[in-house]
Amino acid sequence: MASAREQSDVELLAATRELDGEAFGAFFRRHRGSVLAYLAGRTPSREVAADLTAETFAAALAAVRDGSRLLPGEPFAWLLTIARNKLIDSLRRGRVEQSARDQLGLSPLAIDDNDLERIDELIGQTDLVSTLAAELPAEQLEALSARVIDGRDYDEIAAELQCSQAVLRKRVSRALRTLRAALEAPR
Amino acid sequence: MTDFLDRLERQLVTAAAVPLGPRRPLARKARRLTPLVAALVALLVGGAVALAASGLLTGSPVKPTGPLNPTVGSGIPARGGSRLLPLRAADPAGGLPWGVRIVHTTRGYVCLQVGRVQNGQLGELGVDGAFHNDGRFHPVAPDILPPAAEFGNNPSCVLPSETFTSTLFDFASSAAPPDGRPVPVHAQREIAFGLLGRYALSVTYATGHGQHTTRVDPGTGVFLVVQRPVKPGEQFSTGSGGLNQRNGPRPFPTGALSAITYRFGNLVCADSPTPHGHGACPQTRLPTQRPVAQPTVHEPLHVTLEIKHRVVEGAELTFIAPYAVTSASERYEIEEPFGGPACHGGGMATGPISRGVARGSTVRVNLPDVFANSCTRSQTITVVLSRTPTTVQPSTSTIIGSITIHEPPGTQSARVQVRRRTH
Repeated sequence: MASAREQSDVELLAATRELDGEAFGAFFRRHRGSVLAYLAGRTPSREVAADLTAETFAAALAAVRDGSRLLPGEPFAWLLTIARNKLIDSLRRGRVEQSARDQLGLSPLAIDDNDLERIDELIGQTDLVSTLAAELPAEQLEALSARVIDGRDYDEIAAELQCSQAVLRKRVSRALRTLRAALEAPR
Repeated sequence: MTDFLDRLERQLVTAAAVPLGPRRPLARKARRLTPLVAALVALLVGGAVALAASGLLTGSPVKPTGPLNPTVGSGIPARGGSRLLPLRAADPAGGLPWGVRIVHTTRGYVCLQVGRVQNGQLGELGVDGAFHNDGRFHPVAPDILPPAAEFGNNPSCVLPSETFTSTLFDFASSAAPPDGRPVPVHAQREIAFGLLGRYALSVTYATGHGQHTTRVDPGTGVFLVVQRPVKPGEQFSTGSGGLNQRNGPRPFPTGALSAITYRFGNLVCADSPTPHGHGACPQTRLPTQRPVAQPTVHEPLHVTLEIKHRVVEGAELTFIAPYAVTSASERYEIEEPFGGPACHGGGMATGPISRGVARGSTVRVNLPDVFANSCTRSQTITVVLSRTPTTVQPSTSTIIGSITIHEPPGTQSARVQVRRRTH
């Protein structure tokens, strides 16, 4: 049997549905840095980011345990979608909800300075670009690679890819939109 | 000693291993009703049902999702710039139909907003967890944008010269924006919508029982398809873009769409995943464009480093804007090449300044991790004014100025691995 470290996200979530708590622990350890990095760039404080991270993973766990729902085919993208929606929800309501944690019976956790240092360290170690590049459609990755990684001009790339600069810019924009979601904001 | 993340992990692992017990009641136990109260409830419920037959009670309006700025990001709806289109789509479970509002913003974007419609108003329903299940219709005022607007790039917004399609897999029948909470299977909706421009006639999409075709809104090319998820479990949105011109690139039918039909003069044709079949629209052939040297205006750039305890924690770039930016079709961009032969890899970090700028004003840009991707203790920063072409044409970007800054001796850079940002 593959260890949790070797199992795919889909396998970990399938095991979680079978009440394998350690499987969800492995899923949490694998993605906690990315979720924290995504949220830390968009929230006023690391405490809020940590709080939203807890609510995000609780919501993910609640969804996995709901046998009436299919498990996600792209768990990481699905997880970031939950994080984004939790973020939007907190902005709309002016506070971080804890409905998912309530649903699971999880008590709120206090955060001290040592925790914040650890969170900073984890965010610093997280390379979201390589993680999220796997999420991009081929045409967007191609455009993004030519423009951002190779640093080539739009007109040159557009000529090579036989598309207009407007379309090329849109592809780069859409790709960056995905990447920016986790990377753009001040830390 | 354990930290927050360890404690959270332990909580989650424990919760994940516990079998689900009987569902806990969400509210107090229901009390036995006295006959008088029961009669009153029956009257009220009967009234509500009667109202539901012709329309729902109106609840509180949907609140804006954040402090939006008319000159930043997507902007805000322009005064008088919102219009509910006559297009309607039935909900699979019945009830109020779905509709689309077209919204023109102060930054020149054209956005589409989807919701349920009652009495000519777009709104959301208090069902399936939204608005505490109050069963009411909650209107969305014309001055509210789709919820992603505060993050700058709104997937429901494009420039007037552009077209797009979008399929959302995580919508609920309430039409309230997804909030991460599980949507009951019966309430899950797949929403396909888009803006296809003046030449579009109809879209064809897959249903659980085959292919179905529906006409688009004449003139705008807006379409809307609402159905239960055809492939349950799909979580992520998808879409495609193009230009609203006869020979321009067109959106590719993605997501729920299997074909898009256009009329170009006397030619009626369709784009589909098999583009060479009978009736296929001619493929767009764009002329090969020669690279054109970008004009440069050599505007001076200034960078002030923020150093604390010998650590470069950030920098501020300032320059005088030689051109005004009045809409989203043009923008100043910060380009920071990094890496090179001496480094592991290289590339260009680009960040648009997504806001309006007055000509002659001082533009200030925060660069929180200016040396983060440099391995030579120096960084070149270039400011470019970029204009999105409205047709197939060469780039019109202009180099405003460039500056190279150096990490002062005895300092180090705050450690951040990668950055991209919107200023």
